[in-house]
Amino acid sequence: MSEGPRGHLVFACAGSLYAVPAERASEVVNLPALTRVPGAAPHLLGVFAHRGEVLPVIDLTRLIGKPVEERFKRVVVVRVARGAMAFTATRVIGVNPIPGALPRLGETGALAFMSGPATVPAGECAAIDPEGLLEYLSRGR
Amino acid sequence: MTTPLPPGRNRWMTNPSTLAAPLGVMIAVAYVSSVVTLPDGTGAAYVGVLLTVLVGFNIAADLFEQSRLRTVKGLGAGLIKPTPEALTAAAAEAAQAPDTTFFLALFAFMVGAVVVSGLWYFLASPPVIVAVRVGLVGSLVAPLTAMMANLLVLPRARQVLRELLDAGLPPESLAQVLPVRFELRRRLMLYSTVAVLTPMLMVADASLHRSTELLEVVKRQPDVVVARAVFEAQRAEGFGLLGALGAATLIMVVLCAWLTGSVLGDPLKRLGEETERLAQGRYQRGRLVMAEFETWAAATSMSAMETHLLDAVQGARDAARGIGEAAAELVTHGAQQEQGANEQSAALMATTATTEELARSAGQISANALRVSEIARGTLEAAQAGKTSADAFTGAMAEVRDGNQAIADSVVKLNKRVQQVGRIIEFIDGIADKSDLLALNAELEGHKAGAVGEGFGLVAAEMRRLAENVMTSTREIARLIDDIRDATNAAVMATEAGVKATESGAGLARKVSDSLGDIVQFANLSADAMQSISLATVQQQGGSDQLVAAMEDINRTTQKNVESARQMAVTQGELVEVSKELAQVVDTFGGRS
Amino acid sequence: MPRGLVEGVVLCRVGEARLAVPCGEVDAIAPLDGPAWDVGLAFGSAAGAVEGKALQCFGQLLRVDSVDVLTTPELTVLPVPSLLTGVADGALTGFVELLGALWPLVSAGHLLEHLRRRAEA
Repeated sequence: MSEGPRGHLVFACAGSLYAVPAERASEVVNLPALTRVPGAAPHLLGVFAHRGEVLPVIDLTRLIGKPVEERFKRVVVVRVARGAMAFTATRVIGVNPIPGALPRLGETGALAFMSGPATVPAGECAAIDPEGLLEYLSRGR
Repeated sequence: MTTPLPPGRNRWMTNPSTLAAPLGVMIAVAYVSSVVTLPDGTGAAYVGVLLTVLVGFNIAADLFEQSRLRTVKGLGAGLIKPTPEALTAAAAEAAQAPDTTFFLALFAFMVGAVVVSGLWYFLASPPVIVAVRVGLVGSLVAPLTAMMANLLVLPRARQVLRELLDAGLPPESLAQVLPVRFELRRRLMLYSTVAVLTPMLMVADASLHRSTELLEVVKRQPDVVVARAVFEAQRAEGFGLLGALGAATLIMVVLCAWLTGSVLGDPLKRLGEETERLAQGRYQRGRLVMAEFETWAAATSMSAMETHLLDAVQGARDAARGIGEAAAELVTHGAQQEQGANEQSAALMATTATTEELARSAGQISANALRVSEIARGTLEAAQAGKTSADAFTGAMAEVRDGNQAIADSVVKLNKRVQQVGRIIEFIDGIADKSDLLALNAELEGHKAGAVGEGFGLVAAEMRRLAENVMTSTREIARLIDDIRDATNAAVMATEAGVKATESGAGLARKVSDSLGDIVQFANLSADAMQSISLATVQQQGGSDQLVAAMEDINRTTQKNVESARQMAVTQGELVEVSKELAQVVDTFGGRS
Repeated sequence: MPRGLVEGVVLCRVGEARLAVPCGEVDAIAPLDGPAWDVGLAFGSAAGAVEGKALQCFGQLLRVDSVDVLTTPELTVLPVPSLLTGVADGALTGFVELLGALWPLVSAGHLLEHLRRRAEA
């Protein structure tokens, strides 16, 4: 890929930095009380209703297989054409430009939908591909 | 130490009565055979009836006698335990036995005589007059037989009573069982009457009968010469018979008298022996001579007298011993008194010396007391100064305590303010957090708006930084508030400790002040007391001299006292000797009690 | 019944989790007595709970801790997010907002199927 740098919303989750394209990040909200879902995978912490819509909350630390017992403060709501989801965040850094051509972080699993590392003022972060990840998570069952 | 009653005493005691009956029968038969002419063919019947009645009555009488000696029999056989009650009952039986035998023999002999004559009359049909005479002869012998039986049983009854005493019968019980009866004279008269009257009646009867027979023979002879010859022959025969009868009577009377005398005299002889023993001073408890009537009264009285004498001797012995002990004690006390008097004398000498020493030291004390009095005055002044200082300290401590209390109150107020500030800071933090979130979303929207929203994004980013700064500051303030809270808590605790310390300090100062007040009071008192002592010592100095003189007087008196105590000891020693002699004299009355 | 609406639900609590079952799918509510499918298994709880209530659905029993019946005529059903489509073997049919909280609306038949599969796995 030979695209130029794009604005990404960078956020920290249990010591690691992640980034989602700014145009896919619809909102940042405080983490509300969650409702657990029957038969859901462990990284799906639960759902909450937001502006008349049910949003599933994904714990990125569990998703990449490094679960951390931490109290998350915020969630980053991400919306793609197929649907919406929210990622847990301990701190939201802000919008930073990230280069388009970055290598994937893995071949299989969730890491196949992350690329990097990308250098931002706060450190190095992994850029998430929200469409791919949602597709992958929907397929997961 | 008791000896049990030998067995068979019941039978042994009454055996003589069984012997007396045949003896009486023999006398009666001898008389009848020599005086009464039995009709031909009736002799065998007479002897048969006589033997049958003799044996039958003897057995019946014996059974009756034995039935009245059951306790004696049971004791001898060991069937009855020798309790005091049983022994007393046995004694009553034995004491009763001689009289029982007497009356039984009398009754049996009289009735027996009537029965014999009656039966003989019905069996052999002799002339009525002969049958009646035979019966009368039997009755005539009855009192003699009864008397003999009585006199023979009496010594044995006494023997059994003695054995009962040995078996443990209390002598006083025996005195109850055998009441004193003053009947000796009557009994002697009875015995004499029987012993004399029976042979007399027999002789009279024989003479009368013989005379009548002779008269009949003479009457039947018409020839005077023949009649005279027959009369002479018969009279010669009669004289021989009467002579024999007289001799037999004499023997009988002497025998009865001897028996009576020996039976009744034996206790008197024994009493004599006992009296002899008493005269020799060999007293013994529980000695009793068995006797009857007046002799028994004498015997029991003598026994009681001996018991009382023994008690008296024992009392005298105890008294002598008590006197001896008391005298010995007196000697000891006398010695102690003598020693005490000596010690007293020595002590008085020492006291005299001490008094002289006292008189000398009194002057010294007086001088010292004056010095102490001055020192006490100095102490008083120092204590008064100390009390003033302590009161000032107490006041200062009270001020410190009030100051501390004010600090404590202020700290508590500060703590409340700090908590209020903490709540405000939390509120500010919440607002900053919301501002941060709002600014973040604004930045995001600004970015999405592209170039148009670029400025908006910048403002939002600034706003975020501001919010973040606020949050950093609030975190810092929160930390400071925590520090202040810890510090104020420590201050509160320290102040409370300070308040307590000042309170206890103030308390101590009060105590010091009170103690110093007491010291002031005591110092005042001591100064007064010292002055009094000083005065008293001066007065005492004069008194001590007089005391020394008095002591010397006392000393002289005590020396005299020592001398008299020594004299008293000598007298008491003599008293001990006298009491020993008294004890020896008392001991000569009976070696034992 | 029009799509997006439900008429009466049985509200169940299992531990800290909760779910709603349409009243039409529940034959009876009874005290737990005998073997039943433990709904807690669907939320990852360990099996073995023996107390609670039983929902009788399609001739079988579902164990929950407590039960409330809500007979509100019509309730709006929020759709299942695409990420959760087909979750629990398709038992999750939507969400209802009640008492200030979200309740996952499940189909009892599919839930029984899901629990059976879990038990087999």
